[in-house]
Amino acid sequence: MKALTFQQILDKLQDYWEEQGCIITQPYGLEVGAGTSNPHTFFRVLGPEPWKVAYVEPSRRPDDSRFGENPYRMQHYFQFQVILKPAPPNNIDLYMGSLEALGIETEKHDIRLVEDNWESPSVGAWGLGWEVWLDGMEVSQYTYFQQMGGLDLDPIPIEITYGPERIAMYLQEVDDFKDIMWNENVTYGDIFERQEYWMSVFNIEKADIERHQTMFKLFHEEAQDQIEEGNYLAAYDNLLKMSHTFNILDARGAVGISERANTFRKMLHLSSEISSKYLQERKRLNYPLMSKNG
Amino acid sequence: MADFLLEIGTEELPARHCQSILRQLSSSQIDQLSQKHNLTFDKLEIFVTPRRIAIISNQVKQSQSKLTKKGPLYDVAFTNGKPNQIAQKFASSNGIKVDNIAIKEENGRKFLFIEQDIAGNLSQNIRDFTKDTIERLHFDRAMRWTENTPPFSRPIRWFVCINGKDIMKFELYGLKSSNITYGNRFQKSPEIKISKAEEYLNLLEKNFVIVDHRKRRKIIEDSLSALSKHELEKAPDPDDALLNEVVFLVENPVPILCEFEKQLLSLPGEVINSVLSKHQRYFSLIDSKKSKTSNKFLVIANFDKDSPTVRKGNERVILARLRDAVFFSEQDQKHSLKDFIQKTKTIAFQEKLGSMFEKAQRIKTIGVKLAEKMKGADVKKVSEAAKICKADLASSMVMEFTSLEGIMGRIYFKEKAIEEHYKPRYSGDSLPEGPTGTILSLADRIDSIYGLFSIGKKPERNSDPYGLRREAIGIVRILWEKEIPITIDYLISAAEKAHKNKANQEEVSAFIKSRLDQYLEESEKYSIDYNLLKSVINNSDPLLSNKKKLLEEVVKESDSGDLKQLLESLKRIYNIAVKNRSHTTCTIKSSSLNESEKALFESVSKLAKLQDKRKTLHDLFQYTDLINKFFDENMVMSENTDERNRRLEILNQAHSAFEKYFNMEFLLS
Repeated sequence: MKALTFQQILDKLQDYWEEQGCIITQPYGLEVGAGTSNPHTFFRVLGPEPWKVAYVEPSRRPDDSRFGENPYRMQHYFQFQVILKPAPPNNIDLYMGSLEALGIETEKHDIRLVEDNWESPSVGAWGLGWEVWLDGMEVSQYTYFQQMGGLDLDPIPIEITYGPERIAMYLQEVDDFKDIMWNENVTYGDIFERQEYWMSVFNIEKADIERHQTMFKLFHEEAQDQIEEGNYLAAYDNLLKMSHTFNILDARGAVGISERANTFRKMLHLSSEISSKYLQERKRLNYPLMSKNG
Repeated sequence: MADFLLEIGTEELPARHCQSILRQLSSSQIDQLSQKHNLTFDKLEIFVTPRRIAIISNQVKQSQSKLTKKGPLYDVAFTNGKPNQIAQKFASSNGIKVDNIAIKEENGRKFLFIEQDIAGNLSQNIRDFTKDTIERLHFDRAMRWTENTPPFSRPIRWFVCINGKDIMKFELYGLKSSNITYGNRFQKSPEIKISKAEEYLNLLEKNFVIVDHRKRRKIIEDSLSALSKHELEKAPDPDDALLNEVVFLVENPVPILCEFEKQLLSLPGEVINSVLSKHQRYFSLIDSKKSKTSNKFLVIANFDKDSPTVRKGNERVILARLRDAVFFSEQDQKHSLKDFIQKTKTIAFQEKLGSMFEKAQRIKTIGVKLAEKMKGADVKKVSEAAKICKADLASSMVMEFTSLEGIMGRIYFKEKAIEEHYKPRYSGDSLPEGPTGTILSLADRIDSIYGLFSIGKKPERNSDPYGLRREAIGIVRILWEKEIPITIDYLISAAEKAHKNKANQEEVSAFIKSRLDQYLEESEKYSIDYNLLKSVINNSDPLLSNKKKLLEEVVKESDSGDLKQLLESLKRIYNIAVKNRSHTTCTIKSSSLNESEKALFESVSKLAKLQDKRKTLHDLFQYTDLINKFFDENMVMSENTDERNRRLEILNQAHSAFEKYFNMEFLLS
């Protein structure tokens, strides 16, 4: 059997989780560092309403800019994200099923769950879980969320995040992300090599520090104003923009120590306000998703 | 024969939690819990794998089946053969109906009795025991996964409980106990039915789950020693940390010998070792013939057999990781030392205490002060090394492989002290060897302790987020074992000069000294009377090196009469000097003293003038006679005020001088 192409991997995961009753949605469309920042995760894990969702999230980490030269690391990559809320007792079996769907016969591999916990202090979030090893290679992150926006979660959701590039490199037996077959003819490198190069130049060398500092300030002001208005969603968009702007400043080496701590405090404050405004509205609407489990 | 089984099935527990569970479920803890729930276990054993906690016993019994409680006399509690108010009250206060009261004769008189079947149901006792056991286990970080469960390391998914052939049925946290367990993950966790408790271990082993962690450990150890036939051996593994972890990462250990391409051996051995062991939990190997890092490594897979697929997968992972390391090494080559130092300005030490760049500068200030005091130390070398001691933290290699901090500094900047200043990293680790590394290690630690105390971040009872206790033990060990002629107070005053905020000196000093007590109490080298040990450690000599020398002499003389006599005479001084602390102080004129007064006074004055130097214990023995003669020939509490005051003064001075050797408070009882 021929190894799956990159786009087939995304398709198979999407189909599999659709069969498990997940809503299939699309990427958010703003720069985020991980699928967790997509509102389909950030907001929906809060509160009592059940939620099952799967989506692809293009993710950006300016600090990982390597000009496309490092075979394993990119400033722009993909995550395949699954949220199951509440976490069903058989969730690990479900996950194993998804590997089978990718053509990985689990009986032929050493599959292990190795402790790996997750924490994002700037959005007041943490969870406990594992990284999943397939013959020693980390192919997914697995987290039982405990807090988001500084609030205890109830019920507890599970987040499963696949690294589709890792999985593709494993299945296709290639040693450089650029060699991943996206479809039968076109490689990942054909599509993204130039993007890696130019965005690395920007992130690490050329992004204008002063302008980014100004932008950060403007986004912050906007976010605060929107919270005043009660518009938690517009505030959240501006929080995401702050976060990405900060990450670029960080990659440029332009963030001092106390500045970093200050920034995290600002973002934590905003995300707590945003979360509680969201929850207030859900309550006012009488939790419309309560009756739509799966 | 194991006739009882309780298995708590979980999702994958972190290896360190498995170790912690075994420590926490000590036999005394289990005894306490079983007593509480009216259970007696015969030969109880506890085994832990990543997915189960198994409690196995030869037999479980209820400790007592009946509880008997004696009540009032029948004649008092019954009127006309019918229970009266007193009987009613006795029954209701014990929660039973009055009809259930028994009446029995004791010594010819009839009493009311309650006989309760407290045993109830064995399953129920076991359920409560299980619940209590689970809820008493605590973890550094515990999680919730569904409602109505206590926080635990990872989700609990099943209970198996069998007594002989009987399923002990109970329900706990919404789970029903049964005789169905689940097999190894790679086999898709198949259901395994256990028909009797005694077959549990063998049945699971057939299904690729070795429940007994000691057995798993043995298999791994044997596979490591078997490597000698390939002329390979395990790379040093301090405290067997990796081995202890790997035991709890697998349920069925299968050793698989793997390799990577030889040209990657151009990477430093420490890098390869760190990538293999710290990041992938593989055993890094040493080529015994060439005594250097081999391109072979041992993977302990959680699988049924040595498999080409699994081997190939693991080899590809390592290939990717090591090539990544080569990439980072090449990136680092593009930068100068200056670049790295500059970049440490963006790496935080602590928000209020600034960056690693600022920390290195403080280490320099402190280090220079220490170098001035230490023989063999070169102030210039210390100052140069301090400037670069944190530079490797900005390298790609250390950012990626954090366990290489210090090591990359030594390799990149050709300065041994950079690696050495992190030593000792853990209890039992070796100390820095060279004087520069030693000074930097002291300076780095006191900087952290003083700095964090100065901004109110001292450790609390159960929380020490900056690891300051470990830093303090590091200081104590270096000063003590290397006999460094620097006092703790000198370290603190050097740190004070480097910091903007002031810490409470006494608090910092007491914090570090408390680690000395702990360190010496745990050390097995000084097996002498505990109070004598405390009296030496807590003497007023500020130099740990002096305390150490004295303690060693005391250990040698611990049975000698000389020591006993000296301590007896010091006790006499102590008793009088302390009782009369508030005597009128006076200046002593040698000319007015009698012979025995003069002899003691003059030798005590010499003793007091030694400052940093010290007398040996042997020298001190000579004082015994002087002291005894003084007491024999002089009445201290003389009617004559002048005599009394000068004698008390002499004793007081003697007391202070000897406090540098023995703190008598510990020797009075």
